[in-house]
Amino acid sequence: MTGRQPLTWLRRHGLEVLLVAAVLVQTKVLLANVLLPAFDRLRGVSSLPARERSARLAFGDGFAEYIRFLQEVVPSDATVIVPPVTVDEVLGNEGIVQYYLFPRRISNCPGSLPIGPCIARLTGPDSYILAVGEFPPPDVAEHAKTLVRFDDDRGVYVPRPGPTGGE
Amino acid sequence: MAATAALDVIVLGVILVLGALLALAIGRRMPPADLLGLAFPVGTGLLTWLLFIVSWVGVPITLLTAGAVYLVVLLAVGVGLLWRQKGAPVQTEIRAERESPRRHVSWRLALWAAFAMLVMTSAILAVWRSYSAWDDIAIWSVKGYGIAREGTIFAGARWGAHGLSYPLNLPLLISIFRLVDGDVLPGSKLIFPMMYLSLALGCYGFWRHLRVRPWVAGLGMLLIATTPVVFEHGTIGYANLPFACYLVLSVLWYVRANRVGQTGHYVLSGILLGLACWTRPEGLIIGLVVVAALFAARRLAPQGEVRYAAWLVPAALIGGAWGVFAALYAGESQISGAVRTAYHTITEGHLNLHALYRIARYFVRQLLTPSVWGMAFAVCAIAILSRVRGLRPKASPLAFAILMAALGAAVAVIGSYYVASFSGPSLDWWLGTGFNRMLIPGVVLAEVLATLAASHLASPSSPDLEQSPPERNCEAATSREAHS
Repeated sequence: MTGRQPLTWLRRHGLEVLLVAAVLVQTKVLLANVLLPAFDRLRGVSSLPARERSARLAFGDGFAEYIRFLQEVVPSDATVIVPPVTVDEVLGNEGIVQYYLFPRRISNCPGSLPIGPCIARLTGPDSYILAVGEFPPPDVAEHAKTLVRFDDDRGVYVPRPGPTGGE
Repeated sequence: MAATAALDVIVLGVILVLGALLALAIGRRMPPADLLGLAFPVGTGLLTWLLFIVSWVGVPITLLTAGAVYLVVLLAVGVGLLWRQKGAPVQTEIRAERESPRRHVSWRLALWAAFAMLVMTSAILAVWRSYSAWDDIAIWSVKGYGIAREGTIFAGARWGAHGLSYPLNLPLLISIFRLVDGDVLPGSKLIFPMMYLSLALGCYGFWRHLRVRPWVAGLGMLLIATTPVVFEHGTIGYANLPFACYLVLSVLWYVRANRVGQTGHYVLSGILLGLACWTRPEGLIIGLVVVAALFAARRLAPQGEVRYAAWLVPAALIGGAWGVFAALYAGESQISGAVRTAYHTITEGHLNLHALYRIARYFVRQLLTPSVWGMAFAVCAIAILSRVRGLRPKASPLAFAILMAALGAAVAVIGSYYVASFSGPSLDWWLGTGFNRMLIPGVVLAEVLATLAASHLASPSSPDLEQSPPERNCEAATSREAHS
């Protein structure tokens, strides 16, 4: 073998070797960073329905439990009023809550409006208000709705039964 | 559950048949990799676009409507294929290089087995994950469910984020699964691994068309498929991978059309370009920049005659219909608002050049992060720089066009982020939430080029990309024959 042969071989096949190396390295990265962690997380949720799998994977077990609670408490033809995104980035996002509570209608008060009057306008007989942290101000919601708690921080205001239910 | 899974697979199969027949009707006979690469993107995109038009004129979207639209297209394609077969028997397209059957067989089998495993894994992960990433929950899936529930595209205004300012290709496709079986698995998540498969197979078909050796083409396919961001997007429900699939395949079919001078290839490229605009809100902008880059490449390295009407009319029709609809009904979108703010700020003399520096720094850092882009940057940089002479416009107009398209796609993304830097939220937020996925088309095109460099441009004794006159002439003659 002359001294030029390895150089010629490298010129002809060097990039092919590089491709092989790149594919191997990327496969290792995929396994370590994507596949193994993903399968690890998915093992615990594999038997759940699609939306519950989604809730647990995206926002954690506590969120998924809260969503299950809401699905049980809020009828499917009701309107749900969610907090502004400034109060809760996830539960204030109409699209996200629409997905988990589908087909319930979702409505919210934009951050630019004063919450009190806005909520008062939205509290019809079929509306349910998510209670998250300080939202909604109790003086606005409690005269028309009853709070059903999920935990210390979250719950839902439901219409009061009887002739004065709702407004 | 098994019945639902079977229904979902049937839906995919039915769409694949439609797409394959459409691709055959437009692009004529082609090798299986090309056909499989085109079938799903073309079938899904044209079906949803026609559903969009039908719904726009007031026909309710139901399973019956979707089935009727499907059957009408199928019938039209069938008649077209029969008519052509009777009228002008067409010779087959350029065949990929034949090679000795025994050489590299075990390699090739291993590469195909690895690719099949990747696709299977992405399909399992996609369904298992359900819709669990932000945009796929808040935008794409819920819009599809809303459209299926209300039976109209205008439901997109009431369901999911961004109203009607996001194109409805994916939501309409998801709505079909919802109408068929409630999307309980959710079977609609199979859209994304199918796009992943189509993108990689489409690139493979392109390389083989250019006589790249099968095992090098196989390696290129795996390079794309194992790129972490690309794989990740084969398992989540964002529109970026479908968009990348449409845009990359559009560029590759344009380059092929340039090479063989076949009108059908220009039409395919134009349809795919239009479908890219029909998939992502920024598709129109990125598509225009890529078209401008291809024009520029052509000016620098003229080659043959481009059939502009065949290329750009389908793109304008598909993308334009969506553009008109969005202009009429979407109101001001996030993008148009950002462009307006940037324009006013720049005309007041505030150029915000520091944002460009921050975007460039983020760009380089991300490309060098193996968990994001794997070895893509290293491979592309080494391959392209080591064959830089072969990439000169005159040396290889074809490779130069791909290089320009890749740069165009990347520049369009960087430009978009520069524009976004003028309005809230912060630039860091913008970069962190979307920059990498927006870069997928540009990086995949660079990977296409790197694989070409590893093969065609690798050896002085290899035939140059552009120099295969007998085939070119044969193809042109075939095309002329078909036209006559």
